[in-house]
Amino acid sequence: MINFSNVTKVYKSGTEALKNVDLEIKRGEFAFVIGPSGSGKSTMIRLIMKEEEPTGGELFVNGIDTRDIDRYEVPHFRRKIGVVFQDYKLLQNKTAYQNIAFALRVTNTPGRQIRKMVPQLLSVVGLLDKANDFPCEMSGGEQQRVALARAIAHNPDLLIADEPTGNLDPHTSLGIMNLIYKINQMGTTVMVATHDQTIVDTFRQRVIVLSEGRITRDVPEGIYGD
Amino acid sequence: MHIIGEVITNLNKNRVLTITSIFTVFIMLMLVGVFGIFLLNISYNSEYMDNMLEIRIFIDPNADEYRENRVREALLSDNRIDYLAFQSKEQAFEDAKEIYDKEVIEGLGPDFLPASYTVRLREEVDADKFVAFAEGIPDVYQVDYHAGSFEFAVSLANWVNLVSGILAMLLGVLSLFLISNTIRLTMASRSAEVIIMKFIGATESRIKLPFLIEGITIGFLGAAISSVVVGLVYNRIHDWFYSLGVDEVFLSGLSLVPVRETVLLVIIVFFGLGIMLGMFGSMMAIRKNLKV
Ligand SMILES: Nc1ncnc2c1ncn2[C@@H]1O[C@H](COP(=O)(O)OP(=O)(O)OP(=O)(O)O)[C@@H](O)[C@H]1O
Ligand SMILES: [Mg+2]
Repeated sequence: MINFSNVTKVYKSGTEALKNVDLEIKRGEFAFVIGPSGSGKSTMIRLIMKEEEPTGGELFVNGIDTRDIDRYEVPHFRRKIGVVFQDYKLLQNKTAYQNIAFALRVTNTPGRQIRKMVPQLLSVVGLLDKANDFPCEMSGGEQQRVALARAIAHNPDLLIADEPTGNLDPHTSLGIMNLIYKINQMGTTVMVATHDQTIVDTFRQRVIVLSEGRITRDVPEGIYGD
Repeated sequence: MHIIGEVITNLNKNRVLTITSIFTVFIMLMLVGVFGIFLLNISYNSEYMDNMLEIRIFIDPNADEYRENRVREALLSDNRIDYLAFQSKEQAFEDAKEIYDKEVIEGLGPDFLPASYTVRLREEVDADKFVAFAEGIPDVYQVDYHAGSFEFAVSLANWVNLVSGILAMLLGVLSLFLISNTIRLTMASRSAEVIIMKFIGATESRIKLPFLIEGITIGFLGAAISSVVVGLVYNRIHDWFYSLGVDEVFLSGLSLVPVRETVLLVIIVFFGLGIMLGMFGSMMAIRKNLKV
């Protein structure tokens, strides 16, 4: 699903964010990416989304060399990748329902289909009763659920979460991670960048450790510490 | 449909700048309209203008046939003349009856109006010298030559053309920048939306479309308002002009381009220009501020 082959990323500022990274995440896998701040987790995600280009090596996503995706294909490529962020990135002037509908609408989904899909997505994340609430009326956990519903709206092959529980209390975090795990169980490949030790230790999934742009540890069913 | 809603919300958020942009487009188009319609009417009256170059030589109404012939010979033998036409007293009388109040003219009798020659000179000839010469011919009692007002009209047209052309161009550039700035602000107020659209896989054109439509809307509204204003004002001028009596001698022979034709042309040009300005303004903002 994701294949880094000797990937290096040097930002224009000169920062070497990733150094000779080799990594394969198979279809259907669940992987945590951990590491201290500045170790390159978000950079990895940006490369996968083709928000940034590797400055060295090759990166395949879903069997496609990301270099071969031209700018007109990028949107279609991204529809097959769902992402959630620490800050949810919801539109404040739109309800839960409208936030999800917006994502479908701007990708040319017919209205009839949107009206059918949004309630389904809301029920997957357990928020059917909050459909008409605005983000400011929802808890952080609920907002992140809306973001998750939006992320899977296009039935993506890959779900990427960049510190999805960074702003949430331990209990709520667990709820969000359970939901992400459920999505993984439905067949979506999942990659979660996190600082959250409890979660990593609870779920016992593959753990990839980044340190100063290099992979220093990569174990199946791992824990946060050594 | 949804896009229209987005556009209205965004323009409303930046109301002051939006209105300023629309107003600038409006002023610019008004200028284009004023000088455009002026030039249009000048070319519509080109025949009249041309006639201004003619010299009318009136013969003393009391002259007998012998004296009239003397004038005729003086003119015929003059090689500065390119074209010469004679209008007898009777013809002048008949023509006058058509133009002016018939009864008044008939009351004055056929001897009242003088016979005349209409002269057109060869191009290289100095008209003022010829006029002086013609005035010196015995029994010529008046020589009419309107080249002065012709030259005035031509130079006025040129000035109007130049000044309003430059002003319109400056205002065009100004409105381009204002539109681009308006769009830049709406972009800033929607940066979160743009970021979200990018990562959920909205196409470049879908992300840009609302901003493009916003610019076009500004141009469109500017064009709509100025079309209405120019249309109404021109209609007023037209009515006023034709309500003037024919006794306003200066105006006889002049005519205005019909309102319908003018308004149609104005609408086409205004909407074309307005929409183009809006589009380019948006495109400027998109190019500078929207990295997709
Ligand atoms: N756009 C950028 N331009 C220049 N340097 C950048 C850019 N983004 C990140 N960096 C640098 O690259 C390195 C890796 O950053 P990255 O955001 O990938 O780290 P991270 O592991 O996600 O950190 P955190 O846990 O704090 O989110 C850092 O040194 C960062 O300063
Ligand atoms: Mg990060």
